[in-house]
Amino acid sequence: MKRKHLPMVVTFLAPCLLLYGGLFLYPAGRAFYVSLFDWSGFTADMRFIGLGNFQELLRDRHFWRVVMANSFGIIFFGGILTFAIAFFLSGLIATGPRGKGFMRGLIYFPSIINPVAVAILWSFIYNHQYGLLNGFLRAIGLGHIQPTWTAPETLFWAILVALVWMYSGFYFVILSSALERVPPDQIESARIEGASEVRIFFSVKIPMIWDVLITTIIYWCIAAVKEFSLLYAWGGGVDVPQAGAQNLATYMYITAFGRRVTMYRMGYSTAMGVVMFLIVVAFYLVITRVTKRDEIQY
Amino acid sequence: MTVAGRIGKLTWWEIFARALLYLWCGFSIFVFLWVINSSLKTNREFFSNIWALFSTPQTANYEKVWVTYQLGRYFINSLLLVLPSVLALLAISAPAAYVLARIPFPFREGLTRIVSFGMGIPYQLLLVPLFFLLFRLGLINNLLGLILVYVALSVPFTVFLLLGYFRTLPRTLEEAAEIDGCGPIRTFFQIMLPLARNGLVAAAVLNFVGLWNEFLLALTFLNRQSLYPLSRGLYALQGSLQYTGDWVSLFAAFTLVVIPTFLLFILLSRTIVAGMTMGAVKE
Repeated sequence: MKRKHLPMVVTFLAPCLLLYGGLFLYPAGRAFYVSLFDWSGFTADMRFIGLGNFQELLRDRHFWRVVMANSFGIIFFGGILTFAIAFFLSGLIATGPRGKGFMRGLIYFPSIINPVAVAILWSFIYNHQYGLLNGFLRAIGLGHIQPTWTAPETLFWAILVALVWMYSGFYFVILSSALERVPPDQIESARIEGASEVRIFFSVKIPMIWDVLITTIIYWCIAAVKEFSLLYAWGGGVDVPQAGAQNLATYMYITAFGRRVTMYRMGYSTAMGVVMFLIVVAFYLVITRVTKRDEIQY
Repeated sequence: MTVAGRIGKLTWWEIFARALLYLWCGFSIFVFLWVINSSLKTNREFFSNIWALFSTPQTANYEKVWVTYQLGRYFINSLLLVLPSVLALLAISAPAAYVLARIPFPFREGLTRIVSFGMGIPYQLLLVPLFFLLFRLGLINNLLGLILVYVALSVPFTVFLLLGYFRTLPRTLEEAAEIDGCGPIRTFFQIMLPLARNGLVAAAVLNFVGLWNEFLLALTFLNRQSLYPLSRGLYALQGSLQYTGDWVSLFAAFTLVVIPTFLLFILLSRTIVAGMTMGAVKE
């Protein structure tokens, strides 16, 4: 390094690194420490219990049957649906219909709407008596079928549909613009050799966008693990989300800060935060190992 | 595609593709129009027939949520939060990204990795420690406190995005500037920063949208109603309006929240998409 650059490097980096270190890395690191304590937050006494919080999580049936099940349901089912729809819409838009730009924008738009507003919107759609879905069923003469879309058994799936509607546009834009950059002569030559469209998709297009696809999948895993807004806002101002809307993010929040049911279990809540972090790390490691590019030969 | 057969100039697949696309887009358009139409009705009108058009536009619904339910206040709070956050974020991230991208110094790779690492950390990990850190600093229920948090938590993504832009600029620019006797700091401000303008705009817009819609941190760190930003305020408003069964006002609130996003989107969709794909492609 040239000596004269040193003052510049320091002054340019200092504000950014101080803030990032102080308000991001430091509390992130401290979380691992806090997760080892039984602590109500507002009193000074923090009781050290080692891995007690994690042991309790292992034993907590509600945590596994509802919270973890929902979180992984969002990651897997939500991910499969989101990526399937994003790819499918990319294929549809690639046929070059009129109003392509407009439709692309409209598909993307839900992902930048305020998620609390999205929750409100879908409550209009699902409402039993005055909602759009049941109103539509009545209008086409199926008035005798009036499902309660947000009943406890189906609530998770109802929310998942809203979530996929909200997010698929974002992944659609990224994947479709990556697909558009695939050189057309490669596709053409595969077609001349008699490859089917399905074959071309999996053997030509997917390998060509591999890096983008992997980045996007990792991004999805992170976003899906931390998904909070839509689930917490679902049902509106009830403070304790119903079981179908409880995932790691909402459950850890109410465990620490829930207002109507005051738990103030800071250590237990942070242990869940640690679990979320470990899930992201695990997905990252698995995805980057399993999908090493040279394993897929084209 | 000979297998698929043709009608006129279009193949069956193309017809099918168009139909599905129109269905997906039509659904969204229909839902939005239905909400806007309903927001102009009275509650009595809405509950008697959810499909009917409004008779006389009930602008009172809008006035009610904007003034009585303080949506206007929440809008202003959101602006007061998000604009300074984005400006401060760019002010500290652009120089940092530049140095990490272009100036050789020891530990550069390591530092870049540490900063990017933040993108993989779910905020929930640090929620509790951060709450008590802010509490000790007296920054709970304080817009400045949340601004600092927003800036700090957005650093990884922003630096990562700008790093990509700075790396694409040609090396010769700095060499030429140095030969002309232009110092490195001046080179940054007068030559490199203007050239990375697209990146700065993309970073500003993407962060603006993200922070404008942020809910978890606002919910945790601001408990005073006079400070609520939009997400938090809308959440409170939804609770009270649903409780009183005042649907049409809730429709109006939804419309008021979505319209600015829509306008912003119309103006900036190209920048948003460019920034997003840039972020994904630059690994």
